[in-house]
Amino acid sequence: MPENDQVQNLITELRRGSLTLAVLGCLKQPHYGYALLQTIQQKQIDIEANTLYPLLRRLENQGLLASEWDTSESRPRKYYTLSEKGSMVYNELLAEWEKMQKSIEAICGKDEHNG
Amino acid sequence: MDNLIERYIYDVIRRLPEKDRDEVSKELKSNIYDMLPDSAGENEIRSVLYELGSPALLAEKYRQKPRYLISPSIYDDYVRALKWILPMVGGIALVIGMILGIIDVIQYYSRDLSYFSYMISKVLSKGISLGLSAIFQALFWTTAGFVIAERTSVKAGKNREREWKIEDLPEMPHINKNRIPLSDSITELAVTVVFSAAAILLCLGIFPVAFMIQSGDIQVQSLFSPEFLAGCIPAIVIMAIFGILECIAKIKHRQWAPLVCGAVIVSNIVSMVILVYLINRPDLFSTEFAAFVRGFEWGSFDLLRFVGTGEINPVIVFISLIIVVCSLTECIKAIYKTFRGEERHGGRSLR
Repeated sequence: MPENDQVQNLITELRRGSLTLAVLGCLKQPHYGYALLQTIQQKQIDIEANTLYPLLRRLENQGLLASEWDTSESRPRKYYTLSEKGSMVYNELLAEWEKMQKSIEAICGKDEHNG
Repeated sequence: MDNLIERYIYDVIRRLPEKDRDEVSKELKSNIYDMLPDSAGENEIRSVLYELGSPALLAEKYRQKPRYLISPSIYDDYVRALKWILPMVGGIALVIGMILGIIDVIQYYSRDLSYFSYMISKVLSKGISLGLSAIFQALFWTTAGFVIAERTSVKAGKNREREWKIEDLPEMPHINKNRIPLSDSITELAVTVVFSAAAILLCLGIFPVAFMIQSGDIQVQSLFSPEFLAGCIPAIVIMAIFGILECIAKIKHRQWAPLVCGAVIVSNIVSMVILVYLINRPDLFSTEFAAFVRGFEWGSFDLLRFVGTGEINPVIVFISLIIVVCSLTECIKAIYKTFRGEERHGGRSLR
C-alpha cells in the first residue's frame, strides 16, 4: 500500500505541469468549468473536479485566463478563455513540453529498444 | 436538499481569505449544479459532493499558498534554537526549583531530619514542576518569537535562502574529541547555579558558617566578618553570571569553538581575580574569631596567627597561588582543546 502511494505521488507530480498545459490548450475555445472537465476527461486525461476548479482560479489570478459570467441562461455560468498573456505562455509551455518529450524519448526510448 | 450544497460551499469558503469567498462560492455553486442532472435527488447530490471531496482539502487547493505557523525556510533555525534553549532553561529552572524546595523545607521543618524522605520528595517535586513549566514557557515563547519572525519577515527569509555566498558556508563541525557533551555543560550549569545560590545563602546568614568555642559553655560565633560576607554577594553574582554565560556558550556551540574558549578564559580570569581579592581582604575573619585565634596557644599551628593582624601570610599566599594556577590551567586547557580542534579541521579541509 505505501508503495502504491509512492507511485501515485510520483505520477501526480509528473502530471501537475502537463495538466496546466492541457487546460490552457482546451481554453483556446471558451469553456465553463464542468464542460472543461468533461472535455479533458474525454481525452483520457484523468483529472478530478477538485483539482480542476482550483486550478482554473489560480490560472485566472495569474492573468492567464479571462473569464466572464454568462447570465443569459437559467443558471449563471462562468466561461473561461485564454487571455493574451495566456496564449503566449501556452505557446512557450507547449514548445517546452515538446522539447521535453523528445529528450525523454531520447533517454528512455533507448532503454525500450535495448530491453 | 439544496441545503447540503450550501453547507458544503460554506464549509469550503469559511477556510478561504475574505476577499475570495464570494467568487469561489459562486463558481462552486455553478459547477456543482452543472455536475448534477436536472432533477437531482439527495443521492445524486451526495455523490457529487463526495466526488468533490473533503471541503478542507478543496479549500487548501483553492488557497494556493500553503499556510505555515513556521515555514520550512526557518524551521531548521527553530529546531536548532529549541535544542539548546529547552535543555538550558529546563536545567536552570530544575535547579532553582530544587533550591526553593530546600528553602521551603528548611523554613517549615528546620533541622528536623525525621522529615528526610518528605524533604527529598518535596525538593524533587518542586524542582521538576518548575523545570517542566519553564520548558513549556520556553517552548511557547520561542515558538511565538519564530511565528512573529515568520509573519514579519517572510520575504527576508526567502531572500536569505536564495541569495548566498560561499563565504557564508558554515564551518564543518569538529568531530568527537572537540565536542563538549551536552550533559557535561548542563551539569556544569546546574553546579554553577547551585553553588552560587548556596554561597549567597551562606553570605546572607541563612546557613551560618560558624565555629564553636568550647570553654566551659559553648559559644557559637560567626567565622567570617559581616563586611566580608556582604562584599562576597556581588562577587558571587558576578562570578555566577560569567559562569552561566560560559555554560550557555558551551550548550549553544557544543564544541570548543573560539567563542566558547573566550568565554571560558574570561570566566576563569574574572573568578580568579575576584577570589584572590576576596581572600586577601584584611577583614576576612570576624573579630570574634580573630580574638579567639590570638588568645589560643597554637603550638605547631602557628601559621594561623596571622588572623586579624592584616599581615601577609604564607597560607593566604599559598591559597592565592593555588587559585591562580587552577584558573590558568583551565584557560590553557581551553586554548589547547580549541586549537587542537582548529588544526584537525584545518588539516581536513586542505585535503
